[in-house]
Amino acid sequence: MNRDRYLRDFEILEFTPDAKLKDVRKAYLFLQDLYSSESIASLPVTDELSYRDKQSILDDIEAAYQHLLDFFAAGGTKGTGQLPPDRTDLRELVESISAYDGPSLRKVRECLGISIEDIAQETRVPRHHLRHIEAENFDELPPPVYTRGFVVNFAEVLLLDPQVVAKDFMSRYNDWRKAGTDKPRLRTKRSFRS
Amino acid sequence: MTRRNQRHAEIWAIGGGKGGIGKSFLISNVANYLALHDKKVVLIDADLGGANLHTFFGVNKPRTTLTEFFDEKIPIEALIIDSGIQNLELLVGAVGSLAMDSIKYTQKQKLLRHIRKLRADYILIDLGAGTHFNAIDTFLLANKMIVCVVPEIIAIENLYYYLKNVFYRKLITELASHGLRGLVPDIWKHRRTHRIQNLRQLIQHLGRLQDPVPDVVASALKNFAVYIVLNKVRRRPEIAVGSSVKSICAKYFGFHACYAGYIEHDDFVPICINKRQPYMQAYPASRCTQEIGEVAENLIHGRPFVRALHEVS
Repeated sequence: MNRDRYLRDFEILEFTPDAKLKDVRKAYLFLQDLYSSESIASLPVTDELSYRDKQSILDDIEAAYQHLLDFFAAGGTKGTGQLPPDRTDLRELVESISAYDGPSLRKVRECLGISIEDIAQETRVPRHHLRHIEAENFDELPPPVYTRGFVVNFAEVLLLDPQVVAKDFMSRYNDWRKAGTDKPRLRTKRSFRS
Repeated sequence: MTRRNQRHAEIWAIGGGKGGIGKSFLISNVANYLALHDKKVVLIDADLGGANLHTFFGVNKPRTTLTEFFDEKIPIEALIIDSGIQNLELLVGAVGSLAMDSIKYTQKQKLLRHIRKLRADYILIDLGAGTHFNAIDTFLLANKMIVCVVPEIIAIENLYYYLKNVFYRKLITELASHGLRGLVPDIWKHRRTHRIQNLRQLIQHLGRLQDPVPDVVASALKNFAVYIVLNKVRRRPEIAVGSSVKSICAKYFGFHACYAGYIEHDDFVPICINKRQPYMQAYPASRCTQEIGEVAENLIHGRPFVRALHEVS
């Protein structure tokens, strides 16, 4: 493990080394947006750097992020280093997912080497809900407004775009609900109205 | 009390490129916060031609100012006036004839020497707007350099301009203490031949020169820390402007800045000022007051505003 390299990555993403995985993602998205679009903070300095310098800032941010993903996948600051440093498998896996569902979230989680317990600790979402999300046990999940929040938290820890994941997952959940309302045996505990 | 006498006070200075964005409001309220937390504070108004800190505390213009300090050799302690708030004293710098700009180098040194000896935990200096080297030098001498900005493009543009000037001046003074006074201005003058277009390239260029230049520049970079405070925030997404500005300082200019926090817009601020009423006393439970406290705490501990990134999404 090249410690200096990780420290530099953290510096590029403007973090202290005690940052958490989801913070890294937030920082990455924030910086990517800042340096690829115009805002009141970036417009006054448009002429400061050449196009090439600006592009290299974006490249550095991208490289630091990808590298830190590998770092966390390999056990983060605990440094267990069990997984290979090259995480093209993770990228390929994420790219292969056309729409997120429970099993694909499990695959990403396993690929990152994060346990359900870790996610529960990080997100404060109870473990059984996380398991039901992965297994798509829709009838065990709380009402959509809560489930959506859990999925968003889950996706953040997995470094996925929470909005996309929530949209995909919730459309599956809502399909199931619609199908369920035709049937008389909708469990009362899931409905506030009854 | 003996503890205070022995220890040197920490000097904080606030400056900036644009006027009317709340520098004096911020520093007077940070001073107020420190005073309320049992710290002895001397607040110095060094705003050129626009000394008005006393108005924030409802105190009349003092008769004796720094003019008398220089002309009549009155001790600096005699210039200090009561702010009406316990633990907080005022020193009004430039009312009337003498502007800070016209102070000679030796006079400035003398003034700073006397300021450092004042019995206080914190000495807060309001430099006002402007990029005159005299004001910038005082800014650089502070233990903590604070700049204020509002989420408006003009204020941000001026802030970049100010910070670039400050860092440029820092490089000059640091190298001057190694007998290389003319080096940076000379390189900058001939920047075309050196193919230097901006501050970042200047820093890179200096890093490739002979010893001791790279070490001096590296230590200047390491010791340089400006605290950014975002004022007059009206909408939540604007909070991220502070993070953006901080990031651009690092990636475009190559120096470190720290986003110390934000203060939201409050319509009651100008009302208080017009009534010559200290804001914190008038609205001790307002969100603005809480945010000022948060900023002050971050400044005391020299730490960044931690919620910054969480507020982004």
